[in-house]
Amino acid sequence: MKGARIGLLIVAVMGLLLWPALGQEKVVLHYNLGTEPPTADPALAEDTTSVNIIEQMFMGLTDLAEDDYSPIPELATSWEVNEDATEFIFHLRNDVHWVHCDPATGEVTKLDRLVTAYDVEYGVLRTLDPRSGSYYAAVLLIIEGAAEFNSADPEAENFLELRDAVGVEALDEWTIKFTLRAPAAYFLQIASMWVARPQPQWVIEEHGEQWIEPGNIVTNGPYCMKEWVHEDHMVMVKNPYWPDWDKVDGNIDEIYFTMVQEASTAFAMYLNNELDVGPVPLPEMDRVKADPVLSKELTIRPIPCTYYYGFITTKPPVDDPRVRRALSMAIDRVTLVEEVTKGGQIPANTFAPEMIFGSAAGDTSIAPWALPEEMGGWGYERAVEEARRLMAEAGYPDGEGLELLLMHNVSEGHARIAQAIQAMWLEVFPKASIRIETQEWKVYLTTLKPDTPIENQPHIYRLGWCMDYPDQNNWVHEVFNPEEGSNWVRMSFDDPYVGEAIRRFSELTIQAQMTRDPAERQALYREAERLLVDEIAAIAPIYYYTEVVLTKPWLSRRWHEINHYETWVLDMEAKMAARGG
Amino acid sequence: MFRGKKPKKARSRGPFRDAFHQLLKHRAAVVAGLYILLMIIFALFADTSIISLPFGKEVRPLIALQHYAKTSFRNRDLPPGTPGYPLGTDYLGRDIWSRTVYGTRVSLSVAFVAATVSLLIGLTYGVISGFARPAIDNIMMRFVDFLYGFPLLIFIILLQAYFKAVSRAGATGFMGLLTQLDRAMGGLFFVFLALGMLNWIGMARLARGQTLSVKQKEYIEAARALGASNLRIVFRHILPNIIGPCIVAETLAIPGYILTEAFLSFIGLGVTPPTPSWGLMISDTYQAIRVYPWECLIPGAALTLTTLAFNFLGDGLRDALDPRLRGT
Repeated sequence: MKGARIGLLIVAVMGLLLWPALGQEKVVLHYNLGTEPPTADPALAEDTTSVNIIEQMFMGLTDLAEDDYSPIPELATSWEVNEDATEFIFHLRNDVHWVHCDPATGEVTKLDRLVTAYDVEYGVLRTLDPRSGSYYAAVLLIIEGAAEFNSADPEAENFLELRDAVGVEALDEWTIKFTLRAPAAYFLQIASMWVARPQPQWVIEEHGEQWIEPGNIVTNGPYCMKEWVHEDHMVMVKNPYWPDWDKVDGNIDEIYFTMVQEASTAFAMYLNNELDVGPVPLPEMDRVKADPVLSKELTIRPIPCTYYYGFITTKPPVDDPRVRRALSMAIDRVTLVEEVTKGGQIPANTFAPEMIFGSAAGDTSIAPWALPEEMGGWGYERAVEEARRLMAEAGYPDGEGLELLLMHNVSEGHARIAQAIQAMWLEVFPKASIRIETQEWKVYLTTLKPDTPIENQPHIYRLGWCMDYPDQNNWVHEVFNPEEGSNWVRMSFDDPYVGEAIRRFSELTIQAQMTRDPAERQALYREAERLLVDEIAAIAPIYYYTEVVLTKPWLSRRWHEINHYETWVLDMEAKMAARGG
Repeated sequence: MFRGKKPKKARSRGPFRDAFHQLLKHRAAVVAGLYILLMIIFALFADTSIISLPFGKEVRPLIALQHYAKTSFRNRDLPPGTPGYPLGTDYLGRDIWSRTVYGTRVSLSVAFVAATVSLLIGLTYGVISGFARPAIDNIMMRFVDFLYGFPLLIFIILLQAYFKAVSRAGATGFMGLLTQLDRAMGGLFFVFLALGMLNWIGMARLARGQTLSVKQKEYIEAARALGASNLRIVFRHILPNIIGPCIVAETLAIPGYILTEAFLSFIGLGVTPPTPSWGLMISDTYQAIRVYPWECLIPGAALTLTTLAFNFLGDGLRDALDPRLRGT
């Protein structure tokens, strides 16, 4: 009897001792980045993975709204824009501290420094500095003097002068002013990008390239980096000094990022409750949709990205716009998205998807052949008829004598799409010879760059484009303008077939950049899209991407374009129960 | 004269006839041989291209039910046993039976071409090296040693990458001819070239060693004493005596070639799609193994069985051709 009482007492004491520990269990999110982030440096990031982790650690001047990507306050509480949209003054909040996270304990300390306009100015100038070698500095070149500074020789005498001449200036600690070389209403959205974030000058100068390593890095966003085991995992912990915790519902204390590349492995980990968010590998799509549990955890939503095939427009035989149009027409986009990609993708008839300002997606006066009849287009049968006619007119009846090389980067998904499109083309042009070649991503990009000799390039290449900021300028202009954009399709004003149209296209996107009136800009971009996709047919847009993700029932998340983990809510008890069982 | 029945006198048999009889006693080898024969028939008569060649008629599928590239998107991922698709369809609705049958063409032509090339080069090189003066032998073998030091697979991958680049750039002249040939063969020609160019070195070593040991034999000395020329000695006395082990070694190397081709296709450096190589079929579908297992298991089984068959045949041949090893 006595023994039982003592036993009870021990249990009670133990329970009391354990109680606080149980109650304060850390809420941990397990998320797969899919790859090692190439960098955590806001000046150097160029890919979605890096941007994702930078978003957690550094606050932007503005942020993009969850639903319509409009600019909303983040570090800047308000802003003033002058009449012709060339001067932007941002007023910064004065309660954001720089913080440092101890890699051993995960303890976050508040530094005796606030984030000021000078940090933003330094960040912008460091991004633009030619010695940084930032690829994305390109989006900042709209700032006055930025292009000159970005292309200057660091050894030159007037280097510092050029630096000072850049149109970014901290007027005082809480005010920063940008002067642009041309009107750009979309600059408020550029201000949300990672290239214009505050950067800690003293840390960068002390540690050099190593400043982004845990222990060195100093940040100001809702999470900070505790651990980064390269090619393996990264751990971020909540920054309790981030001022807006009372304005968001999120409860996640720690994020454990894995870097599993194979979608099938990540999917298996998700099924095994090792990840809270999981991908759906293409081959598993049918199974997930049919599964009573998984189908409820599945979310498919459009994202602002486009999958397209580009034509090297100066390489015969695709130098003939009739051949290009015929090829574009002969892609059965509806069958492709329903039977091959299977992720609810939307057949594309323009380059920019719907969410982008100035997009003409679904406009049936542009490349109507790409759209099914329900969407007001021609439907595939009529498109095929026209494609056959055009191909014969160009001198390749039934594809006779047509030899094409299609290239894509190594990936199972791209291979499937390429083989499906190859089959569609061979069905319509049975005598053509269409070869597919693959290259590893980095090699592939080198092959596509315009300084590669044209004989080493394919006729047709695959690429996707995702928005950096939601404006057509980021699409038709920056990607395809023959004078100022990347123009990997090699359009040239001397084109014997459509040279005039190419010149008009170029003028239109430049004019649209300078125009303020939204309706007028919209009209200019609509015409530019029509030229690009229909008349010149430099690209064959295929579909607008969707994001296909599985989310565990214990996680309720939001759908910002870049994940905002501070708004996610996770039921740790349910998660532990599932993992334990 | 003898009366009645002739006495049963063992008829003298040539060494190859003898070997053939020995081979027939090796049951696994016989099954393997029949299997390979079946594969050869599949490869030759997958469609009517050989039959129709002299008549210029249109090619129709024969053993295969459809052309290997025929897609039918609405019939994708059908399981084996579906009417019209005995082994099911893949992710683009292509008939797996047809693709596997056509796949034998790729695998067997790789097996035979690479083996022949390697045997021809290796044997010639090895015999010359073994028969020639020690100084020449030395130089020739150091070259082989040098090649041996190369990581073969990496070299083949580099070669393939180079050939592909040349082919893309649209070469003219001799290389242009080769690229044309390669295109006509669905990307196979350069696989042959890469495999054949490098796999003869093992054969060369073997042939040299055999030549060296045979060279010491009394019958060679006798032939020499009788005034036989070098050529006669090589062709009449050395080659017939060393060819057995060489053929055995080559047969046993064939599975390696088939697997290398499958591997090259798997990583995208082999045949060009939609040419159905088993390796390519596996690499296209292995991620769906849980959902549509037949799509990669069927070509996988074909690949496994074929390599097994060549291994068994090689075993049988070794037993038959090399009496000393019999039964080990």
